[in-house]
Amino acid sequence: MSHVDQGILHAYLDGALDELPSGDARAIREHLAACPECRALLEEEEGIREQTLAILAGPLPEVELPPLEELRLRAEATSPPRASRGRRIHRMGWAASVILAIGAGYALRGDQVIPLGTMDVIDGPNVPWLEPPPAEAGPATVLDASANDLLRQAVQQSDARADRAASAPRERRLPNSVIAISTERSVLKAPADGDVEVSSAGSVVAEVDSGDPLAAELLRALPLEKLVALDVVTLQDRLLGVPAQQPLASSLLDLTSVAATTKRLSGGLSVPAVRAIRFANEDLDEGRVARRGRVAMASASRAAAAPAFSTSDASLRPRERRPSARRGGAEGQLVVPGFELISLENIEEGPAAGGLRTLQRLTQVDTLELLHLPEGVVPGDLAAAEQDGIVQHAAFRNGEWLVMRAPRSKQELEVLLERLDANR
Amino acid sequence: MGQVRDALDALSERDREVLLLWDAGQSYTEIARQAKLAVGAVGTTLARARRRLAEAYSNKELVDVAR
Repeated sequence: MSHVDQGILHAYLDGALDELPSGDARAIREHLAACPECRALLEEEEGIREQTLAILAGPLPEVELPPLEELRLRAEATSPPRASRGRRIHRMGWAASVILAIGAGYALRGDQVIPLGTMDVIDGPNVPWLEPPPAEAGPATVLDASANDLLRQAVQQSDARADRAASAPRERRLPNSVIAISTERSVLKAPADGDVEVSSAGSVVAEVDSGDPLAAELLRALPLEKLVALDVVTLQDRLLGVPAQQPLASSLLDLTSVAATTKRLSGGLSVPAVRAIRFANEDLDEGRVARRGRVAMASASRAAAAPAFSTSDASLRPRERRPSARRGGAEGQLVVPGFELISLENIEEGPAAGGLRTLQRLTQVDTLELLHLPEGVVPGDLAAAEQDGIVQHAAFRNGEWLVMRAPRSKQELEVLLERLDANR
Repeated sequence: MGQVRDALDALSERDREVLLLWDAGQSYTEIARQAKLAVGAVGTTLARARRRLAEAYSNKELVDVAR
């Protein structure tokens, strides 16, 4: 065959050869294996692709958005006509400077709020590091009536789901993925009766099944001017022992378009969840489950804030939430700069209980595991690394053991350790 | 901070959309549907978009250093 063009090389790098209508994936692979010219081009393109990945994963710029009326108009222009509810917005106008975080890191209610520790979380790499702003900052903000309406709907829906789950625990069906909506520091308040008013850092307002059209509508309607984070919580039936509504893959696909919508609305800028979803897809591509372990998302200040939730409607009261797992100040010292963070978790079981674990992405397939052992625990107490080819390197630092594991040589691990130390 | 955004601004709207959809984890088929492109054109668009983004980003870096 003739040489492979750039577009096909990129499809190859993206693992999308099989999606091409004309692409004979096998012939292309064979040609690449045999043709030094194409291999050289492939390497060059791969470098560019990697660069783009790094750029897009870089620090997120401040989101400066056009007025929400404009966003709304744009959204309406790109989506099918919606119910009359959406029309009121033009009369109401939008309140400015709403500070809203979608998803401060909490989870779905079954018969109660499930803390993150009991479910799977696809973790956006930046999310655990976002310190919530002080709870007292920010004036009360009046929500648009239409957004309030949607929010109320979402709250009622997730409460109804919780009630159903409570009355028939065996039959409950959980969505695979949930968008948790909560606020960081703002007070959302609608002008009419039946307001949804939230006035505490990190309160969960509602969780919406990401496959539900309401989720997309909410994302469109809620003010996204200062979107801090958007969490996507994906459940796995095998962990919860309950049947899921849809296969994981299709639910993630829905979620992806929700995220793409958000991204479009937020001026094309990345929000953490968008990358979290990419993890999930990669995992699925490799035939693995989208499990990233337990992630302690809540920071101390968030845990300390009492969940205050005021509403004129008694049915919209929040559930009690268990206090978040303790996190020491060590997490900032556990991340080797330059690599994408996959997860951060408190180790709660085994000989290293009380320690911290981070996972970072070294390449598409290789992961660096870093364990911060609690005082008195030595590397010899740990079980050996499970996989073949994983090398372990331990270092004693300020009275604590650090254990690094990755499919790398001892020397390479030492270099990584130096980078980590340089970061302290 | 604004560097990523500036680099993205250097792309044509179509290129930017395709790149961001890809970054959002969309498959080629999905991207083609949303961007109203042929599936076969997604790779070509991505190839161009990535190259431009990388160029715009490094140019911006040079300008920043020169200041």
